Amino acid sequence: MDKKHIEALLFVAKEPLKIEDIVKIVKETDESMDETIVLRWMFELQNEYAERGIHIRQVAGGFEMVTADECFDTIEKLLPKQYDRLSRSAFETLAAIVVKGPAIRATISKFRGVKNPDDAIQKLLERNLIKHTEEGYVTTDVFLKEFGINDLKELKELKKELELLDKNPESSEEVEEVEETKETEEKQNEHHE
Amino acid sequence: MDYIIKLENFEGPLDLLLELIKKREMDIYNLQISQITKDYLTSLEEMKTANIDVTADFIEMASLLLEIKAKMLIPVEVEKDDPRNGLVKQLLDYQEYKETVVQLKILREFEQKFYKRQKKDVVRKEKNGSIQDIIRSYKDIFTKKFKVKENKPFDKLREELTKFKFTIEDRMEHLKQLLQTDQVNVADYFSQVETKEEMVVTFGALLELVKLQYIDILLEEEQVFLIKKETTPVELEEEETNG
Repeated sequence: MDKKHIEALLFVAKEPLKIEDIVKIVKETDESMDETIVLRWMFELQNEYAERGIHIRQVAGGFEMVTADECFDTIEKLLPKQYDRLSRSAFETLAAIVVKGPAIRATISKFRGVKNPDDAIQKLLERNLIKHTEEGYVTTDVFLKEFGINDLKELKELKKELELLDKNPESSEEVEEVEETKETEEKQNEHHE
Repeated sequence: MDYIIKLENFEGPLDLLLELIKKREMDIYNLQISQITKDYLTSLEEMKTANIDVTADFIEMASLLLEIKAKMLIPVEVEKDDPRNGLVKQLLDYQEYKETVVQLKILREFEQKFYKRQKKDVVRKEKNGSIQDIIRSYKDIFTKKFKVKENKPFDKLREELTKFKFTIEDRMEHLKQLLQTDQVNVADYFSQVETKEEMVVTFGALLELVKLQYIDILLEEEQVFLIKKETTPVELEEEETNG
């Protein structure tokens, strides 16, 4: 077996494929396959596709083929946008659940500043973007797929990067101490009272 | 007073507080409680004057601020917990929430740029045809007709001259007859319709038949079909009256 089998699988799959699922499939025809090999092939394919109109990316913990984002303008002519719009309350509810998940009704209510958050919650439940657990509401794999997120940790990392780009110069001395000393020295005068 | 901000848009006390802190260019980790409490209370007053509902949450936050302010005045032993800590945590959480809302919007916007196999199925629920499909077909046909008509100068005049020649009852009969033999493709059927009035009447007849449970709507390969129900209460009723 070689990596073209993985490539073919990715091509036909309708959902992101997890490495363990791929291993299970390829093992049926070739007993010698294992996770290390599949993962290596996957990364090789990913590199080979990097410059093409189709990319291989990771979403919701699996791998999938998607069109390159720079081709969007062209594709859009053939296939108009297909996603439904989400309301402001839907985004707010999702954000509360992402930040505090599992989040109970009261938490969502507090963040959103509304007394009755149920409508928005209900709509998200119907669309399978969130689900109910004993500890509260959590986001689902459908959410990850629709937002192109691999896992929620990645989302927090991304946010840190954004924060660093858009760093508030007035941020506390405590935080700055951890960062580069040069910067701290420059700002120390400002902070002295 | 330039630190007073547009009041209507606040989603809650934390939202208001965060905005006031930003306006003062204060550091969340080093809040000047007495200043921010003053700003906050002034804002609440403004809200009352502007007839904006100051909910219990806003009052609760005010009392928390006053409590912290009072605690700050009492000299405490070193290393003791800063009375502001609880509030700071709340503000940071809230700030994170606000940022996440924006971030999710950006992510979703960006995600739409990726196309993949069968993405449609993920979003659209599969259904056997509904009234929405009929409405959509109707709109499609209508827009097509309208576009053609725009180019013909006499069409508008003719349309105005056309009188109401059609009744819902006639249309229902016509549809019933057609349905005796075969299913009806909605798009085809409507494409034979000439005028706006006729279209309205035909559509009304269609809805009436659905309401009377005479027909079923069937969605096949993006096409809407009408089929006759096996036995319908209406039909039975009619047979009785006829017999």
